[in-house]
Amino acid sequence: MLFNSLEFLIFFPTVVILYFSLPHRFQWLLLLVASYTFYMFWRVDYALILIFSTIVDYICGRMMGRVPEGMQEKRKPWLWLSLLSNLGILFAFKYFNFFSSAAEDLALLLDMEYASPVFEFLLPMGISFYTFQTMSYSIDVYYGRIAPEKHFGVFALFVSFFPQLVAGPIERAGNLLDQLKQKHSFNYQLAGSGIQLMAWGFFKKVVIADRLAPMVNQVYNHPTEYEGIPLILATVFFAFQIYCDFSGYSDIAIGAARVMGFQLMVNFRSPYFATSVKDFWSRWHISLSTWFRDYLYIPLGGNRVVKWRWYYNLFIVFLVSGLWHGANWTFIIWGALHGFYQIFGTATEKERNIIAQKLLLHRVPALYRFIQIATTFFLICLAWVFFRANSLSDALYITANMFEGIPESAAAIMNDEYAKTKLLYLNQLREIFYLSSIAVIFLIIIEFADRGTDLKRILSNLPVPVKIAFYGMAGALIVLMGNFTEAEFIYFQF
Amino acid sequence: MKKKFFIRAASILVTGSLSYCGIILLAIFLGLTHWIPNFYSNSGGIGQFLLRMRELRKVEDVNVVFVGSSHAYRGFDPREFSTKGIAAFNMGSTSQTPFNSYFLLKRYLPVNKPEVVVMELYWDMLTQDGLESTIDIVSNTEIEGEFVEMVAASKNSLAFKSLLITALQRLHTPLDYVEQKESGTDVYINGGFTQSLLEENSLSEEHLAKLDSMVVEPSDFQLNYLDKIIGLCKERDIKLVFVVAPVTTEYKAKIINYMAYSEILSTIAAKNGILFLDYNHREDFEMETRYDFYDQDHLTQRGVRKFNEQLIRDFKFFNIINPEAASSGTTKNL
Repeated sequence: MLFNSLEFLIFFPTVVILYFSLPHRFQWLLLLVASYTFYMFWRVDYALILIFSTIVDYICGRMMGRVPEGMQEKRKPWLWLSLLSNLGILFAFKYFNFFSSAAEDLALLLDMEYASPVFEFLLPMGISFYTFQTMSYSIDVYYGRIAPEKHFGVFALFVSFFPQLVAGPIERAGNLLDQLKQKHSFNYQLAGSGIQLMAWGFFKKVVIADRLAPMVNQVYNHPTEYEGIPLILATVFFAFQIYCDFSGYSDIAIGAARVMGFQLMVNFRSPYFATSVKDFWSRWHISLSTWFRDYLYIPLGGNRVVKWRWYYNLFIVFLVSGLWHGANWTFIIWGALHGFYQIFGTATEKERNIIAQKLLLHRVPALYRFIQIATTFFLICLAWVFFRANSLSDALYITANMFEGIPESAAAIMNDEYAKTKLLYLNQLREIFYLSSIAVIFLIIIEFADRGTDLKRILSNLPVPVKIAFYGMAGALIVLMGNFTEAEFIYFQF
Repeated sequence: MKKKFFIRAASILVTGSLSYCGIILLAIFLGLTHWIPNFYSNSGGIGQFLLRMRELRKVEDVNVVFVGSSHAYRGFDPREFSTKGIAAFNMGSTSQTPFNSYFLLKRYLPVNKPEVVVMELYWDMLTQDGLESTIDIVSNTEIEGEFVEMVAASKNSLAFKSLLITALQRLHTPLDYVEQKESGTDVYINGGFTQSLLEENSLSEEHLAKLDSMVVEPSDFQLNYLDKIIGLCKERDIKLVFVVAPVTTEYKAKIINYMAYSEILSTIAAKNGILFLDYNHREDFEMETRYDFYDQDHLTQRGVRKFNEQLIRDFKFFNIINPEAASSGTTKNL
């Protein structure tokens, strides 16, 4: 089921009303049934994978819990079983065809005969999210950070909790499991703030992301028809499309959970205001980047190793992050590019500071900050090209031609209406182009203002009739301006 | 606490609904509707359905009515039928699917009392949900029971929005005062026909060769409404004819399962004693891609003439309607 669907509009209030009407001992059961219903709206049979993952991790957790602390060796086989099961599912459904075709390419290169088998599986929705969530549970139990969950139903709910099941945030058992067992009574403040967050998420999804999508698709599906301005425009639009799509989903998920009294982790903190790529990753998909930090980067040694090994660790983490996003060379290069940014940023930090001081940028902190934000945004956009492009050759074409022919495309836009539609409005109506651009600027202003002032508090301090009028008007504008074609969220594919 | 929450939520819903209508009204009065992306209306827009419906309200009895998509309103020229003494009216509209045709026929069959209903069954229409045509019909007609029923049956929120927008639009401009937007290459002809002024196409062989291949899978939803139309005509003792209007041979060749599609229609027709005429699939009828079509699938006037002459001959041959007998009829108020 999609958040931006009519079904969800009926499903969610029904679940909330039933949830607060039921006695505490049945609440988990309701949420479990609701979560599986939510998932099975997409495909019934793939819920079996979810059940399999749940059973295996539950058993592994319980078995590890039986081993006394300090005897971790005896826990190891169960940890391996859990990791291999989850990674096995991921490999079979997500990566098999990719590695198989890579093997075929390699065989061709070595002049060997090898025909790779291809499995026509549909990628189970949200598989990378729930497998990572359950793996973190097993690892935490292994290290004794948390006690294994004894209640199978509650554990199954932890794996399948519908607000964050298919696109995160990837929750930690330490945060969510206890909340699932607690009694939650209806809380006016939490419900109000949850709905507010959901509305903001819907705005980002249907008004910004889904309005930008056709323009981005037009260029990225036919890149060779363009050079210069439209390639830049489509890439910048994609940066906002993916941000609004994904953070919009997170907002709806966190908001929906909050209405029922659950606190999910924050997943985004104005990432395009990051002053470095390192800073970007502390603001973008926080639940995944902290997962990689805690379960891959630190076990690899983190930064407490010799320099070359530190750089190696950084690079590996981002390479794996790229692969997590998709079984395609474009995602791997996207990850590698981010790994390179991190290494370059770390290695040249001193030199960059010296240059900034020589240019007296430290004396004008606002300007220095602006330059840092702009540079980071440029680097992030450059990497997004690989993330969005349909193929590696498309990505290379776009990066090579982005800054070619800018004066020519600018002149054509100025002088020719047809060229303006194709090169500036990216084959959309003029009004759609301007409205989408205004919506993006509005988002930037709100996020900028939210850094220094608590907008939510200002809003909640308004007189009730003004608040009601404001929310009513905002809702009406979302319905009038949004794209309600029930477009899937981009991160579902991961 | 819960009560307070529900009261406020209800207040926001009411305020939101009022704001929604208010913003739309404001945009209508200020002429800024094009700045609202979800302003679902085709009032006076492409397809000239406004003019067609305006004329239909004055028409009483006819011998033949045509329903279907642009292949219908650009393919059946009532003037060609009139020269043979057949009074015809074309009720085609943009992307009209059997779902939409059913509600149009339900509304107008009792008024126009035709002897024959000709349904153009362009394959694309049997795969769509009919939303585009629902919006077109709602935007260009009075708000009437059959069309409200159509909106409800569409189960699509966009159709409901379109109905609401139409109601608000009528507050500003009653239907009789809505103006048809000009189209440079199309002329409206009495009897519901839209004539293209283009006399040929400039499609290159390369373009035609590159057309996407398609597999046609008619939806159960549309086939169900096809059944309902059959029932409606049977109830009123009206002859129903299925027609697939000609398209360029290159375009038809891109339909991978054309024979299977034709077979589906032919089976339904045979089961119900309906004449089925497929003009893309017969040896005695040929069209010329360059001059008979102004694009890959729409006819020029030359093409329309050829097609309609053949259709009238077929009507006579299959005894669907006898031109001489039709011309001696009484109320042909066109």
